[in-house]
Amino acid sequence: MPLPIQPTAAGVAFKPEHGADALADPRPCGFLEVHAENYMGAGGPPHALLERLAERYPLSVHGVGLSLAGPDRLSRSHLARLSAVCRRYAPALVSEHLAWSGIAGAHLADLLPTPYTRPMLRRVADRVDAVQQALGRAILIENPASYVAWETSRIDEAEFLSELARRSGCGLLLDVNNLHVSAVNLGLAPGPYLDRLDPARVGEIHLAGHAATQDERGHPLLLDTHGAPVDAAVWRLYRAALDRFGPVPTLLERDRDVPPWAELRREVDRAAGMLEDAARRRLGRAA
Amino acid sequence: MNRRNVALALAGSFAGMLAAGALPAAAQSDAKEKCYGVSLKGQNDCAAGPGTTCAGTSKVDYQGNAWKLVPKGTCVTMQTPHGPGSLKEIKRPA
Amino acid sequence: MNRPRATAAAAQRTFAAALVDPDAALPPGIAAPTGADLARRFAVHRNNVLSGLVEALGQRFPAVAAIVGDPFFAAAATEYARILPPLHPVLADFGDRFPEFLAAFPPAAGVPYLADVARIEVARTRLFHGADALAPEPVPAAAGAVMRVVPAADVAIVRSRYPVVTIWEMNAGLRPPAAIADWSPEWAMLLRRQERVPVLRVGPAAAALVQASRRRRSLAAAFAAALAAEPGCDPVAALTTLIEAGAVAVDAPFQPGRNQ
Repeated sequence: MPLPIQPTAAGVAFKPEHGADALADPRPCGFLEVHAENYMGAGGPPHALLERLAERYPLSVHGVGLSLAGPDRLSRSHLARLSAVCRRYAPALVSEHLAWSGIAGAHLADLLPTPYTRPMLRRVADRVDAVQQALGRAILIENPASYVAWETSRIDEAEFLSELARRSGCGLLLDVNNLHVSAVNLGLAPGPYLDRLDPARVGEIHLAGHAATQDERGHPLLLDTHGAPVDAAVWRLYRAALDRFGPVPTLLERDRDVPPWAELRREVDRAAGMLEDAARRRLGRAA
Repeated sequence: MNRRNVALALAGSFAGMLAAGALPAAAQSDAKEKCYGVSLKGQNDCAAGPGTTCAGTSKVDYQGNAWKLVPKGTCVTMQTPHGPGSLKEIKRPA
Repeated sequence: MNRPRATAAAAQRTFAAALVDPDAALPPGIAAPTGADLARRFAVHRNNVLSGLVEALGQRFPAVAAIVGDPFFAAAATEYARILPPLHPVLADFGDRFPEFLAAFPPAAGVPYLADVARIEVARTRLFHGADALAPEPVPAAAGAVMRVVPAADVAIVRSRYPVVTIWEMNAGLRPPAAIADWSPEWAMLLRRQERVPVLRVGPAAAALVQASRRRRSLAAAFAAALAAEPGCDPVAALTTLIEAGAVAVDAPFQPGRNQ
């Protein structure tokens, strides 16, 4: 029986090297998230491990390959493989990205920037609708980490995402690190961005670490590396997000220089503590 | 009797028929499994800024007729009988 | 399709092409804040693409990387990723043609066994992610009273002119790399066994039997094929080894009244 994810759940992006520790941990964290594409094989040890984990942990399936804002048609074969993963695990959450990943015949394994235009909004909304029809459920769409913007963009990102959610009925996955990275790189204000999102739509939050660099002209350039602990500025922005949205299931991502499970758990537990505080504040306000 | 049981029964009966030393060599090698598929996002090696070699713009070093790229791993230890760069051995088996 | 959309698609295609072409100019239509270096920002995406794909190949071909060393591997993998980028987002499949690429890659000419090691690594990953059980065979309408050699697992055979299993073992951490005295050819057989993908040495007779099992040949035909492939071999011993390894099985004749 698939386990549900609570609003105050703090989870972690699962790495296979943590399999034994995650299975043995006497105090399981709130949920595990896996990349859908890593479980699209027919069988083998990856599925065997995930099936055992699914008995202890609620699951979230996070796709990185649908290329929803891509110039080509939605890949029916990839959507079929995503559907198969979702049927197999019945995850509590399913998410994808507001991004594209190449062109037909060349998947470039990066999340590329979307032109924020009316025609693109229609296109992405149609595709999210098609995905949700195929999966028979709503999905969450994640905001990107941006390095460049398209000159043709006419809609700001928060408005684009909000309108996408209204049109398609999808939820939003707010990656607080991505928001911070984009805000610094593109000179945006993250506060008003949060204010523009509908709290009812935000179904998950991501936290991760980044690398702070400067470009050749001395302009700050943040890189979304997922290779360091969550930055203080991102924790502050997370606190602001919880103030606005209340407790929302929160995931810690770490893909590089991955520390031992116990060390990751400390960061996850910090998020869990902030989620509990947010729940208490909400209760206090209601009373 | 299902197929699996038939196979096991046969294996047992064949084993009795074997002359000593008739087993073909079949050394088993179990390497540690590490071949999980990878999907990647938000990963960047070029974090060190100006002056670092970035995979995104690097090219294979090729000058004139000679590749400057030389393999320098364990192949240095495990040389073929014809030595490195033997043209005789380059032709692939069909 | 309206005109703005077609224009956006064209711009995205130019953007994508520039990501994998190190000589390409910055794609038109992108911007960064005043004072920022646009080229450096685009290079982040270029680098994400190439380093990500090179890393994916590195995870799939660790023995190849050990043989040639990391700088050589990164250069070869970068070339491959530019020429044959992944067709779809499941990167476990990326690199299926890396063996052929290495066989034709001029700087690897001095390492003639490299492509065969890559073939082992391609097969290993494919079997690792493969189905846990073979698809059920349809019951033949008239099997006849003949014993047949049939597959018992998903099996791959890599034929080499080099001692490829020894070389693979030396570079997969199973034994220390050392000079190889005997450069006799070795063939590899790989199969999924629960959580593992063992790599076994097989001779031409065993390879012929595996081939025969895929065609569900009769025991007699399979033995004949084994003897043709390796004159003077002991086909019964070879079959026994394959059965014990879990690679093939022998299907009993269909017996009316006993088939349930």
